[in-house]
Formats: sequence, C-alpha cells, structure tokens
Amino acid sequence: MTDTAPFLEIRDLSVDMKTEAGSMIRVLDNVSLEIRGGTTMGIVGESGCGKSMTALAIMRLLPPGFEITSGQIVLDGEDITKASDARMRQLRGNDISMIFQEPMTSLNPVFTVGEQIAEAVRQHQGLDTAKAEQRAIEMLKAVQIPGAEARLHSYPHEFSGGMRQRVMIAMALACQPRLIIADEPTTALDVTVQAQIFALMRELQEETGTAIMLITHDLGAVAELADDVAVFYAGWRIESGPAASILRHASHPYTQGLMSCTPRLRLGKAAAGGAADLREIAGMVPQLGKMPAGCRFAPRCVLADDRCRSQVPGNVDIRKGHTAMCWKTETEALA
Amino acid sequence: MSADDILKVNGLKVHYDVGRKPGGGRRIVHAVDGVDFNVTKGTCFGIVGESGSGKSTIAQAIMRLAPITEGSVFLGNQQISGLQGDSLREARQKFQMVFQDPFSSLNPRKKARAAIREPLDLLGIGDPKHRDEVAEEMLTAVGLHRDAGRLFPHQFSGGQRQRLCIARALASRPDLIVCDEPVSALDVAIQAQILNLLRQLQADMGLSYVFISHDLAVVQYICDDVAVMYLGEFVEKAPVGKLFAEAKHPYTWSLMSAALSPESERGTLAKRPLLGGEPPSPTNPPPGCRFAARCPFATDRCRTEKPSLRDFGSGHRVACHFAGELEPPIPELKAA
Repeated sequence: MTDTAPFLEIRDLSVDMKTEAGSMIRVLDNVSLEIRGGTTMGIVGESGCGKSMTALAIMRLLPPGFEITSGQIVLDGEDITKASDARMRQLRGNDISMIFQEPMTSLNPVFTVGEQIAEAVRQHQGLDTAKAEQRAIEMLKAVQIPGAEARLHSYPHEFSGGMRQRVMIAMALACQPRLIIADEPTTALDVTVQAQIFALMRELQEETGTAIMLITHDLGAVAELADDVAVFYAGWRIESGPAASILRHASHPYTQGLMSCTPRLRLGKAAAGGAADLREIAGMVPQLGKMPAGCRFAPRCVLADDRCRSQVPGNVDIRKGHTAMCWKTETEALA
Repeated sequence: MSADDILKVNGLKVHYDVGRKPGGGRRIVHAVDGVDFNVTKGTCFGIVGESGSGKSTIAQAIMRLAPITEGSVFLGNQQISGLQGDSLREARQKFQMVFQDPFSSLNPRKKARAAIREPLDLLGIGDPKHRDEVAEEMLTAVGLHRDAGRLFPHQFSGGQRQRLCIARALASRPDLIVCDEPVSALDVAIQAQILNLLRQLQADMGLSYVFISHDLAVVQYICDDVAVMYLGEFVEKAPVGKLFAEAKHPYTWSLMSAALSPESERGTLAKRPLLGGEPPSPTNPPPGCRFAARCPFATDRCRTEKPSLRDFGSGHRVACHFAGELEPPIPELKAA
C-alpha cells in the first residue's frame, strides 16, 4: 500500500487569521499530511487545534479573515491553493466532498432530500432532471435508506438524525468523489447509529475506493476506521503515522495523554476490578495568539524541561512512517 | 428500600399530551413510563440510553422541571413530587442540577461569582458577605482560582464553565446532584478532568449523584449502580460491576457491541452483531417488549406480552422474557 502515490498531499500548510486589530494570528502552522487513494486518514485533536481549519483549507472554504499564507495542497498532482474559484467549484463535489457534523443544519429544510442530492449531480455532472433523480434513488439505496423511491420526496425533518447523516453521505458520494472529508460525522449520533454509519462508510469505501479524511476527537473511531493518523495540537501536527503504530506506540506525550484519559469499557471478568483511574492532562490548550515559546504542549507536559520551553522541536522518526514532534521522544528513542 | 437511600423514585411516569390523533383520541408521548429506583447515600446512580429514551426526562422530573404524570419522588423523607411554590423552592436547596451544555446554562451577563451565589440569593441563605465567601470556597473546590469569580462566562473555556456549573450546584450544600450528560460536550482530556473532579467532590462532601449519560465507558467509570433505559422504561438495572460482567438484556449487549476503544482492531464493528433500525416512536409504544422490533432474539411472545423486571440476585434486574437463557453475542460476557 505504501507505494501508492498520495492522492492528497499537504506540504507545510500555514493558515493565518486576521484579528480585529489588524494583526495576523497563525492558526495552522506548517502542517504536512499525505492521504493515499482508497485509505482513511484520521485527524485527531481537541477543539481549536486546527483539524477543521485543515479541512476548510482543502475545500478552500475558509471563513472570511482566514487565509492560506504558505504551503501547498496538492490534489492528484495539482496545487489547489492556486486554483481559481471556477476550478474549485469543479473540484468541490466532483473530486472532494464533505460530510459535516450536524446533519440537521447542513441540509436545506425547504427542499426534499431527493432534490438536494439531485442538485449536486445536476450541478457537477450535468445530468438532466430525470437522470439526476434516478441517481438520487441509487444513492439513497447505497446508503441503505429503506423505501428509497418514496423517501426521495421526504423533507429533512421527516428523517431521524441517523437517517439524515445517511442522506449527507449520499450527497457527498453522489458525484463519486475521490476524497471525502468527514468532519465529526457521528458526534451528534447515538452509539448504535454511529456503529451503523461507520459500517456503511467502510463498505462504501471498499466499493468506491474513495479516500476519507476523518476528523474526530474519538480515538475509538480512529481505531475502527483509520489507516493513518495525524494528531493535532494548537495548530501543529505533533504526531503522525500508521494508525496501528500510533495507537499502540503513541510517542508524543500529548498523544499518550489522550490515550490515557479515554475511558475504556471493561466487560466480563475485566469488569470486576472496577474502572482504572483516568489520568488527566492538566491545564488546557493555549489560546490563539498566546502560544508559548518552544513546544506548545510544554506547559501541560510532565516531561518538559528548559529546552522544551524555549526551542521548537522538530519531527523525529519513531519507526517507519511514524514521526513525532517532541524533544523528549528523540532522547528516549536513542536511549 | 433502606434508610441509607437519599433518593427514592417510585413508578415514575412522565407523559406529554401532544394533540389530537387523527380519527379521535389524544396523542400521548410516553417519555418515561414507570421507572423505580433508589439512590444510596454517597453513591452515583447512572442512567444510560440513547437519545429519546427518556433519561433526561427522568432528570428533569426529579428536579421538578418536567411534569410528573404518576408516581412519587422522595428525597430523604421528604416527598418532593408533590411540593409546590415556596416549599418546593426551599426543598431545592437539597437537590441541584448540572446540565450538558456549559455554554447555554450560564447567564452570559452574570459574573461567575454572581452565578454561583444565585442559588443562595434565591434561597435567602446567609448574608451577602457569607454568600461571597461560599462562592469563593466553591470556586476553589472545583479547581478554579478564587479570584475567577470576577470574570464573565465567556472568559472561561468549556471545561472551566462546567466547573462553574458544578460550583453553582454545590453552593447550597445539596445532598443530591443530578448530572445530565455533564461531560458529553467536552473534549476527552477535559472530560477526564471533570469526571475526576466529580469523583473527588463525592468523596470529600459525601454527595450523591444521578448521572445521565449515553457513554457506557463513562458510566462504568463513575457510577455505582446503573440502569439501562429504552423507550421510557428500564430494561436492565444492576450494580456497576454486575452489569458489565453479566449483562443479560439484548439491548444492553447491543450498546456494548457498538462501543469502540482505542485498542479495537480496525474493522471491529464488522465482526460484531450490530443493532439495525432505530427506536420506535414513544407516542405509540408497541404492546409487548418495546425492544422486540429491533431484538435479534424476539419471538411472538415478546411482541405481545410485556416482560417485567425480574430479579437475578444481588440487585440485578432484567426485563426480558428470555434473560439468562440467551447466549450473549459478546465473547467477554460468555466467560462470566
């Protein structure tokens, strides 16, 4: 799999936000990522760490006041940071599409779901009304909505949360994009429905070979779906590599912290001892524009020393394809 | 029912009339349909279930924020389900609530200290100076700086705001705190901080909690007793160790099957029996077992005859006709 050329390559991407006072604050700092065709990349981190900003930068849908200041986003050989608005409209939907967190607010309440799916294919693939409707029925069937022909004429409010998220996935898949960005696609859903959506995403990925960028704060979701993982902290990508390597051998103290503060379900005999104490990561994410010098995680890190507090760490190779941005990892790996 | 019980809920029903049915009659939403439980002093009682199962409605009914259609709620020896007006207000000193969303449950125009003082102001406890002292004491108890009382809610992060909400709930020195999904809106690192804080406050102050959550792992971490709720009813109830070691209800199994952990193998869900479909409407709950329509083990009996909560020893109760006879689809549970 590793010899597959990356379908999406982000090189040293930085995004700045303009403050009211006119100064620029860096919200995403020199981030690099690679997503290979047909694979899933999990992006993990706390709120405000830059996960969603990365997604919006790829879609070129950054909110007003935010801009890409350096770096490249190479989609199948084409640097889309320089693409025209017309070219981006072509790419969005056709090549990249997005599934948002809140299916209620991202569907238009005054159009039927059929119209909304059909609109996507009419716009992007130039199908006529009848063919577009046919395609919409196929898509609703693909996401396993029972009675697709009848449900085509239903409005979003007539669907449950899980069904709405299926409609969102149907819309995202309608033009057979090669990359789907799923931003916390199941956070608003119940666990049993989340399990259904994850199973569906895997199945559809196997059929269509689409690449998925899964943005989540849930390490369990990453373990279930991701081939590769990138961990974000305060606008930095602080660790990345194959999912199995990161989840079993987390190297960055922040990633280790995330692992140890996730409560685990213990069943059967393991339940008898009660739950193990949760270790917490003390403190909280630094505020934008008030980033500490040196490593941004240093103020919360138990291992931090003077070097951590003064010098920005570089990326250290942990094992094949697995890197961490940490001074301490290097010394431990050498020891 | 023992003298150690701080909260006793008997036959609680909350029904909402939502209008006329086409063809006559009323449409009644059976949000909570007859639940019983006791909370032992100093323990945490968890209610777990999916959205729409009625778990938050129970929380609201205890707090007297939802109308109780039938049944009673006792806090200690006082029946709080029948209280009105001043006597209800006075009783509220002893039971307080922490809500899910710390952004919408704090008044943005009130400074933190005023927010924490508010219950004392409303209940007329102590003089203003004393109330300020209590507010500062509570701020430190929840791990914030005592001077943080001068700040407005927007100056705090989500986790800090949830700490403020907890401080406010603690101010009147309640016996019971009802927590409705208190960590669901928080990042995982902050979630661990708040869970540990709740545990520590419980140990320090002898608090009792009713803890509503959809997350089994969180419930296992913080609760002593757990009830699993489906469509307005408890389907299984047990001490926490018992439930996670020997769960017997197919719905409990399906919640366990859907849970993911960072250690799961990739594609684990594909190998597990997953629940299809979605819960039926609480407006017209099905006649037999409410879970029958989605239950892989359901028989004709399940669809017509309602199962009662049967006792399986040591406080483990299961509402399933075939509890104890079915083979759990979860390998860990088979070993037990």
